[in-house]
Amino acid sequence: MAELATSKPTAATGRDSPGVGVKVLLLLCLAAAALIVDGWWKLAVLLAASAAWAGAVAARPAPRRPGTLVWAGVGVGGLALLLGAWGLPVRPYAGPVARLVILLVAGRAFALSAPAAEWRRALDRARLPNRMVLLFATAHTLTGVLASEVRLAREGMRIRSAAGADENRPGLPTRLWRAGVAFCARLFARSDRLAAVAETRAFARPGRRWTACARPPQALDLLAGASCVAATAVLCLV
Amino acid sequence: MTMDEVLRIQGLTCRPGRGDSLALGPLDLTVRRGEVVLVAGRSGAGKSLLARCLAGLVPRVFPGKVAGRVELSGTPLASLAPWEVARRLGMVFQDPRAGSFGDTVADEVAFGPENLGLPPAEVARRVDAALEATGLSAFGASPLEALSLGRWQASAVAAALAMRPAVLVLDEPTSMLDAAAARRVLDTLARLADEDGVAAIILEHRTRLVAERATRLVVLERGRVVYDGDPGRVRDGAFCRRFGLRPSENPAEAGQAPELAGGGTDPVARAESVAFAYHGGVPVLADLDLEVPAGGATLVTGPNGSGKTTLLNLMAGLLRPGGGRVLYRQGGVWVRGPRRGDVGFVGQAPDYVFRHRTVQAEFASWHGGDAEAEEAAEAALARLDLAGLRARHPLSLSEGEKRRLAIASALAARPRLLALDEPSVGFDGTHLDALLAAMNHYARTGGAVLLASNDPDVLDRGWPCRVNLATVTERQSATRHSKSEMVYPA
Repeated sequence: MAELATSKPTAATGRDSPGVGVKVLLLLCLAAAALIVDGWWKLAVLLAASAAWAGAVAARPAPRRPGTLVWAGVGVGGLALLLGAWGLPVRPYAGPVARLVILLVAGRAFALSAPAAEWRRALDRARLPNRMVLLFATAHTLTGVLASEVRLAREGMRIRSAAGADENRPGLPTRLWRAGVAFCARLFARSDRLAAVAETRAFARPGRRWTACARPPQALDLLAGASCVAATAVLCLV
Repeated sequence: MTMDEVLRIQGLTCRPGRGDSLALGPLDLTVRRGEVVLVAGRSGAGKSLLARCLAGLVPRVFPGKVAGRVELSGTPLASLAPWEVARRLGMVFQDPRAGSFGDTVADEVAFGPENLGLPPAEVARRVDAALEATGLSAFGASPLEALSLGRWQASAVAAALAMRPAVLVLDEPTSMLDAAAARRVLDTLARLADEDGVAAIILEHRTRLVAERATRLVVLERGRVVYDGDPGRVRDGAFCRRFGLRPSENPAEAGQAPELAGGGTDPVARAESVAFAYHGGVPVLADLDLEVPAGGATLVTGPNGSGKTTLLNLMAGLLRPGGGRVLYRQGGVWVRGPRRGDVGFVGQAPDYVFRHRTVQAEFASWHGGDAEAEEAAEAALARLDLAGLRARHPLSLSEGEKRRLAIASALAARPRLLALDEPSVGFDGTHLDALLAAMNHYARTGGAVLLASNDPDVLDRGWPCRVNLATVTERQSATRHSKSEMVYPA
């Protein structure tokens, strides 16, 4: 049982998977490079790296995996790079779109591959101020909430359609507007419930939480971290 | 306040929302160490609101005006910081999906004790004990999202238990659990009350089950306490009818259950050798055959995690089978389905289908609009006691009312198959009877009903068609689900 308290690796994280520190480093490197580098091929490398990360997350047997939107984003980013490289009139927009897609895909891959508790404990171990730990932990939880709300809203649309509701179907803008309003209302209600649960679990208690026994950095972690930094440096400097 | 009193409520009133109408109180109640209090009452009687007030969540999180005095172990609630309240009073909410902060069951259960700043060894001990108490020891490393809703609910109970508060408030903690899991949770609460003096306040509609372990019954009506005494009264039929509680005894055995429509030989939908596993994990369903006849109601039952929800999702077309196929009959020909108008599905989160600003508008969007359809739809609305809520926003309704609206809407659409997943959650006795009557009426007028439940008050109705699903562990000895495991009318 003591092992459990020291963040026992689960089926989702995998015993040999890199620690959350490496994932944070990878995310930071990708984000920094996406904002700094110039040139279509360099952006293509970064997009491929983000997509590979999302692909690695998708390949594991876990319930939370990148959805269709992530792959659609990769497609949009790739298309933007192609159009930009060919010098089409959309060139001024292609770069920013590709950079945004890289950030979003890498962020989603990180959110799905770093378990919330591991992420929270890592921040706590890093001696960040309590408020920042709470802020990051809440933001991390909310990404999952948002993803599940999107999934449930899509299911709701399919249920309505399968039952034959809205026989006198209004136009697409009206339907989208109604779906959007209902989505926002439920999201706010769910945020309230999340806040309520957080309060009843002493989330906002001042002072430090217990710090899980940090897993000492493994050789693989160090190698992966060093590779991330080196690759980013090369990409930025070449 | 005596040493034994862990909770004292004096003159508590609450006006939720903008504070226009009084929904709770004035209410006086005292709870002592080791008491297991069952709080029952009709839907909308103020049970969930009472729980929120006790945890200090109104008006801090949920808007409303609260007056009166609540003391936790002698300390006024108003003088405590939220985390200090959390240390004294544990809370389990109706919907466990609403607030999860961990990815795995163990992380989720450890979250509260971690926040309290307990040493790792103590956190580990508490997590271990809470998981064992709720029968989740084997699921500590399981991702929450891979669990059935019933197991997820058990993990929420475990998370509250791990906080070791003096008072536990549980809002329908057994509503999605099978009988064995529910009894395990209730046994745990009774043991904690006996051995550690933890007081438990259980707000439940499943009164028969909870009364077995409760030491006291409190009945709320329109926000006020109308009965406070012996929990054995839930076995008094007249008492239950008077306060709209669930039936006092097994309705089928007592001969009180109306005869449910068994269905003919004309099937509407069929599952052929259906198999399903979530994301390549352990199979939830394997080689399942099922036929749903028109003009009858078919009950799908089985323990938590046996695949009831998965089966209904497959029939409703929300999931694609990993193997086999789901077929619907269209003019004498079997086609892969469902198609538009084939199935009305009310899942465990019914409010995701709502799109309109009033109950009236929402309901109207589901039926065709011709006079005959409108008349039938209005009858369904009245039968499920929603006629008085027409002007309300669907999302402002209580959980039970939302579910009733979703069911009434699905009935109004007149699909060929009506699939209901745990439809009785949040239903009091009166509304449960109304639900079953509406469903029976729908079946008798030619509709097909497929209903998944492990609520004993639903199961004890003498179902003529029943499908028993087994868990994966139980299935290891059996080769397949087959029609031999289904009970059809003779």
